[in-house]
Parts: sequence; C-alpha cells; structure tokens
Amino acid sequence: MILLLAWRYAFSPANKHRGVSRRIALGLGISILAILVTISFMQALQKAQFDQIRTYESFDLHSNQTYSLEDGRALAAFLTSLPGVEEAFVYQDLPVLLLDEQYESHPMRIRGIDIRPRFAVQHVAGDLDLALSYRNRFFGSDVALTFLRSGKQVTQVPTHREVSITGLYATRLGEFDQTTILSKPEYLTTLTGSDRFTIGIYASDESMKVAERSLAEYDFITYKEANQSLYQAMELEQKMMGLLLFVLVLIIIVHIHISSKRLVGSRQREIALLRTLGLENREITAVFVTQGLIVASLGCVLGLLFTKGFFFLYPFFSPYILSNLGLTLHLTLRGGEVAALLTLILVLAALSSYTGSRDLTTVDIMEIIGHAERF
Amino acid sequence: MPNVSDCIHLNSITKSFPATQVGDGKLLILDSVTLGIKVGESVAIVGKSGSGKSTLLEITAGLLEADSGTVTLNGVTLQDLNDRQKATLRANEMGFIFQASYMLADFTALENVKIAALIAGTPPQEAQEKAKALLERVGLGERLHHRSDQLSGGERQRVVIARSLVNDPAIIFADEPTGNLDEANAAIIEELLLDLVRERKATLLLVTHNAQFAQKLDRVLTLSERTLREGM
Repeated sequence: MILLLAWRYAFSPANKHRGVSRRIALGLGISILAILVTISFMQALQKAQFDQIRTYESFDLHSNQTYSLEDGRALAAFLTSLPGVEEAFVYQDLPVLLLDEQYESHPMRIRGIDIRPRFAVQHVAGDLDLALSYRNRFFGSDVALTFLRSGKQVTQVPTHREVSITGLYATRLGEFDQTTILSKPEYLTTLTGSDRFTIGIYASDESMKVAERSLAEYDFITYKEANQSLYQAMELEQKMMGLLLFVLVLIIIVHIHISSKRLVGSRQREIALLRTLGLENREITAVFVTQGLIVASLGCVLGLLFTKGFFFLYPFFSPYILSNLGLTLHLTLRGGEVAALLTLILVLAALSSYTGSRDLTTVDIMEIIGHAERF
Repeated sequence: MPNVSDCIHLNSITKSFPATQVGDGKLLILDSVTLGIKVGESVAIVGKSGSGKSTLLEITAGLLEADSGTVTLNGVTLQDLNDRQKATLRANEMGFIFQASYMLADFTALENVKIAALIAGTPPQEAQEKAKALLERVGLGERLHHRSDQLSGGERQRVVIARSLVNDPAIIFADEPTGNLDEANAAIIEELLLDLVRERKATLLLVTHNAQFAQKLDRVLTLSERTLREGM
C-alpha cells in the first residue's frame, strides 16, 4: 500500500500533478549530466596535459646530467635493459631563431633525438637530418637558423646557418609541430658543435615505479619533478574544478531539498487525511520517502541516459575541441564516482522527504485540514 | 468514572486557545465538559458558530488534545495511548466525515474507500469487494473509477461516508456533513448516513447547525457557554 500511495503521488497517470515530479526528475537528470560531463572533461583534460608532457617534453624520466653522444648512447643501451625501462635514448633540445624569407625571425627549437620518437605518429618521410612537420608554416621553404644557448637568448658559435629541410614528420600536437624541427643527434652536433646530450626514458604507467627504482643510482628525475610548477598549477586547476563541482553538487542539493519539500508540502491535506484514516506517522513518512526516492531514481536514470547520449555524440564534435584546444580528449567515467554521486542524490532525496513529511506528521491534524469553523 | 455501557465518555474536558486580545492570553472554549454516549446511540451537538462544537468533536475523536480531562472510547482512554495506538484505533474503530468532502485527490472513489480498508489491514481483494459494495450502497456504482474532481459535492460526500464505514467502525464522527451541500443533496446525505449508521449499529457523534437534521438523531445536545446541556 505504501508503494501504491508513493507511486501514485509521484508519477501515476491518475495523478494530475505528476508534471511537478517530471520537472523535478528532469532537473535532476540535467544536473547529473552537467556534473558527470564536467568530471569526465576535467579528468580527460588533465590526463591529456600529462600525456602531452610525458610524450613530448620531459618524457617519463630524463637524466639530470648530460653525456657525450657516444657515452649517452652506451648508457641508453644499458638502461634499456633495466626492469621497467621501455625505451632509453639520447636527445638534445636546442633553441633557435628561424629567419623566414621575409627576414622575420620566429622562436623554435631543434630536437636532436636518437629514435623515431613515440610521439611522431605519422609517417616520417625523407632523411631525418632535419625534419619539419607538414603542418609547420615554413614547410617547403629554405630557412636560416640562429642558434641560441639553451634557456638563454644568447647566440652560440657557430651562430648562423642556412639549412635545407630534408625530412617530414607529424605528431598529434599542433603546437609541437609548429615549434619543433627534428634532427639526428649527429647532424645537430655538426650544426652546433655541441656534444652534450640528455637521456630520455619511456616507461608505462605500470612500470614507472620499477623504472624509478632501477634508475635510483643514476641522476634521473620524473616528469612530475621536471615540471613541478606546471604540476602544481594543474593541482590548483584540479582544486578549482573540485570547487566548481562542489558548487554544482550544492545546487543539486538545494534543488533536491526544495523539490522534495515541495512534493511533500503539496500533500499536506492528504497527509492529515491519511492520519485520520489511521495511517501511522512512520508509514506516512515511508510513503513520502519512497515517493522522493522514486522521483530521484527517475532523475538518476535520466541523468545516466543523458550522459550516455552525450558520450555517444561526443566523437562527432570532438574534432572541434581538438581544433580549439589542440588536445584529443578521451572521455571516460569512473564507476565509483558515478555510484557515489547517485548514492548522494538518493540519500539526500530520502532525507529531504523524511524531514518534510516528519514535520507534517507532528503538526495537529486539524491544523493541517484547516477547518473553517475552528470553535 | 465512565459508565460501562458508554461507548464514548468525556470526563471534565477543558480546552482553551491562545488569544492575544484576552486578559490572560487564553480563550476558554470548553469548561469541564462531561458526556456519556451509549453504544449505538446517535447524538447531535448543536450550538452557535464559535461555540466549540467542532473542537469538542475533534477532542473526542483524538484529533485535538484537551488541556485537561479524559476521553474514553469503548473503555480505552485516549490520553493513555501513544501515536501508534491512536492510529490503530482510528483505522479500526473510528470513521470521519468532515464538512468539506475530503477525498484523496489522486485516487478514484473506489480507491479512496479501498485504501481506508487496506490501512486497517484488510486483505486487498476483500478491501476491493467491500469498497465496491459500499459505494454501490451509497448509489455510486456507476462512479467507482471517478476521481474527486470528476464528482459533484454530494457524490464526494457519499464517497466519504462509504470510506468512513468501510472498516465497520464502532464510532462515526461527523462534522457538518451536509454543510457544503444544497438542500436536496443534504437531505439525501442525511438519510443515507443515518440509515447506514443504524444498519451497522454504530455510534454517531455529529456536529451540525441544522436543527431538523439534529432532531432525527437519538439525542440532541447544545453547546453553550462552554458547557453541554441536553436538548436544543
């Protein structure tokens, strides 16, 4: 009987006020969509940023010391055999100023690297003496390079070379392609005379700890240590997103609380009437808690359906995100987080309905019925 | 002490309401009202508006707390019962008819009556049959599946009467049951209510302004000057 009453008060076609329940459920569904999409975007964005750092910039680990090309290669070959290390290689990033045919200079870098790097996802054509991305605006032109000391706007000797681009590469990251010329380490050495190389290491998420232990006696740092300020900024970003999510959850809490009270409040007279019919207070509370749970459950189902729909449609508009952010975001949802959110919503709906109906069961029946002739 | 043959016994009931205009901040409505009603007796309480008739009925039915005094229904003192016991008593021993024909708005006539039976613990099938039979008895056999907004005032009050009787209660409390109806409908409802109450040998405590209706009952009491007296 409690279920019959609760269902009728919530959604039954015989209930002419069921539109209120529908609107509440719809509001909940939209709120859940907003929260889940925000969470998944936040996580995807952070993962993409870290992946970008690990893939393109500091790799998973890199040495603090520099080595000659010969020593570096020997050490890299040895390190590759250590547990957890998937790939070790020498590399050197050299900042340059590129002078175009209009004599305008553009800051870029040459990366001398020993392997076909993991990030070069598309065919690398031609000779890798000097390779430019086909997405680079200077592709196809002869360019002049002015070499700078790493981290400083000071030129080094030999300072200026006319060079020809001999190869072609492409990555997923437009920003990298716009600013980086890839080179063989030997060729970079011939260009600059510099023979100091760093060792980079790729390790999977699973093998990262093993690799760190294997490299303990060498002077290596992780991508988090190498990008500490960025990592801190991302942590701050995570906190800010957490705050935003908290506000969203707060809005949803207020929505549930007001809605549940409204659902119960609109039944004041019915509650009084049910009490005169002999329904116990705890049964009345159970009716309205069940009603609140039915509405909230429908809201949760709607929220999950909306979210599923969003995830289904996402691949169709993700290219726009890629073109705007330069990032490929792979959205995922963690079951634990979804379950926690839905549980929170259901618990709050039950609590709000409980407090709302409990208040009405403590009020005098005749006060609720509002008798016209009091005395 | 309540008389053993009393179905309803009020012992020295006093009730006041807060009133800022009055000297001590309280308006005394009932002053040591004592009353005994026998099993199967039908009693009308009449009096001027504001005399406290409805308040007395509500206290007797356990819907309102008295300041002092006791209410005994079929030997059970209401003041000794907790909320749960009162609810059980309401479901099984009492039927209520209010002036406004309060139906559960989202339920049909049949469901309104059936729910009252279900609350009292009647099995669903039996509740359905009893509800249907009672609604047919009050002339709503063709209106079983109509909601309150699809029924006239008189029809709604018939549903309420059927609902109040579905659990064969010992006592029916009726507060101006024909107050909102036109004369013709009122007369029908009066006859119907009295017939049904007498058929079931239930005790009826009724509050009304209608002297003619009151005189159809076994006893008439007048509430005046905060106390009850026999007759009109």
